[in-house]
Amino acid sequence: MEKITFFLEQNLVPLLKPAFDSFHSVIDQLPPPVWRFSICAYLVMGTIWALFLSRDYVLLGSPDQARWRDLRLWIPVLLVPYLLIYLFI
Amino acid sequence: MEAAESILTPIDTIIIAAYLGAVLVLGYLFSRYVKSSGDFILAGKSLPFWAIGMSVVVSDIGAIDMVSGAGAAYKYGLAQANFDWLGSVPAMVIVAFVFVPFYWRSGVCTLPEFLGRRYGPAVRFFQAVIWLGFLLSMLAVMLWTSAVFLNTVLGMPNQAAIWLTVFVVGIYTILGGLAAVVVTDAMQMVIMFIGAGALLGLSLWEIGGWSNMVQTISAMGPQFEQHFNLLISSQIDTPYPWSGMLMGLGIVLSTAYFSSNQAVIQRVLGARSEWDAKASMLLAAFLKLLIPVLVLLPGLAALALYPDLEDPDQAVPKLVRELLPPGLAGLVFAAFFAALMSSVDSFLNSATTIIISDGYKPASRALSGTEPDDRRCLLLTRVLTGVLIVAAGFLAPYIDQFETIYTAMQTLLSLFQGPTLAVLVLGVFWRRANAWGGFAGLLLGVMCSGSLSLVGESLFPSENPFLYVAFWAFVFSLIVTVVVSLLTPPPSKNQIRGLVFGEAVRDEATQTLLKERIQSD
Repeated sequence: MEKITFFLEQNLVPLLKPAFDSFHSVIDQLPPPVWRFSICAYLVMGTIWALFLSRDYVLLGSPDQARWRDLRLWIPVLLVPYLLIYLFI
Repeated sequence: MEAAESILTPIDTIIIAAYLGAVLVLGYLFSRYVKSSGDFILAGKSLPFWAIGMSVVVSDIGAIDMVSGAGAAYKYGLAQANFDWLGSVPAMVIVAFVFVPFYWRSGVCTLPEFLGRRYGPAVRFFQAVIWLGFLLSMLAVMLWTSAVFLNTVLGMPNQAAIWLTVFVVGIYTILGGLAAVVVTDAMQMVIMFIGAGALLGLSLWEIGGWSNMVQTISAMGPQFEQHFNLLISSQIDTPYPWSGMLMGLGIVLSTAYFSSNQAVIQRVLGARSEWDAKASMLLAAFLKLLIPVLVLLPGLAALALYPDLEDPDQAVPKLVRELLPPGLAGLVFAAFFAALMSSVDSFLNSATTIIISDGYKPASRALSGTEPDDRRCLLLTRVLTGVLIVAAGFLAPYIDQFETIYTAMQTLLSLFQGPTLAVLVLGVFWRRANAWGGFAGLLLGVMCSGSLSLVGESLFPSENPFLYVAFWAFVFSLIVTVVVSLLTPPPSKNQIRGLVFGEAVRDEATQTLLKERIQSD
């Protein structure tokens, strides 16, 4: 394992380091509010699309058509506490 | 490791014995309903959403979080909570509405089975071997966690602690299969929440409340300045920088974990309807909100009360020893044991399923040309369950070489989660992805993960860069799979029939074909 690590240190690291360093230097300069905004934007974008799914798709296999079984209704209820956590902690 | 005298009074021992007895009785009761390998592996497709949701949470947080998660919070602070918060949403929503309906309708039992149908037997074999290795090593990690805990709290020798867990979990999993695992998990979650809540309450009471805890830890020195920050700058030497959390955990590891983890897939496929399968993931995402409160805050409380612990993983066992009165100690001990068992049973059941579904059944079909006898499958499944848990018991002591168990688990995960997610996403959403692309993406992706892990500290601004490794291995695998697929012939329509998202979910003719395939399987 040490030989493999040595080989990678000599050959792979010099090849990749400039690219990763440039990437991380940009990331490192972002201020904390941007971190929060990025995480919250990811949370919203990653979940909000589910609201636009068809009712038939969401309810397929449901034993009845009761309103609470429409899983889209639960998306905002689920998302809000997570958003509050990342906005205020 | 420091062994201690038992703190348990007779009433504690009675509570623990009653709890273990109840678990074994449940396993026995469910053994009556197991008539076929399908009943054992998928609980006869009878599970309600609330049981699956609770089971997914308790299997996920189990032993590792109760002991090592709190240990990591002791060492690194609140940033550890991201694994439950950013690690749940949006991943579980995506899995609920995209991957769960897809798996449900394509009629597969395991991720290797899907990838095998989509990319060919080489990818199936590779995935099955990787998952089996991971599940077995995780079993060993969990058994070792139980040994650390039992040794500290009860003074029980490590070997005895490991073999006690092996015995109890082995019995009810062998008897009752997935149904017993899920129902005992649901019971274990209730006990775990009560026990962990009691421990948190007593810890905060001892310190004098939340604000006293914050003041005490903040006053310990500059190295504790970040302990109450959820998001940490990547310029600080930490394994949990915010950018790694977003890219590695949020985008890759969490989505990969919930979409490809056999323990999760098997539970949702055991649901009584597709709606129950989807709803279970959303319920689990709700419950995950509470996990950092119950599991990680005791780790911070231990830091305020006992700042000089040599091993952070001793944080919660120390609290249990020092703070809990008779009776409550038994309940909390039962809660921790519940957490340990719920994770061990899940991984054990999943490992067995992979061997049977991706090893024995295809090999039997290839050799004899006929379907394997189901009674023999059921017997073999039960025997394998016993063999695997015993093998994990022998492996467990070697896990002690890692600095903290939780970091070891994440490092293991990061090696192949990124490449697996890349191949899975392209297989589900891109018709042009073919067998050569999938195989190259997976193989080179895992090699990329391994290489980046070896030299990660030279490349990334992190003490343990598993988050960045996972992200870049995912990106690398995506590129390799796309490039190799485009350079080789596309798969025929028949090869991918019912195995891409649009067809499996929307096309009626394909859905009829899939139903026929499931019935014939």
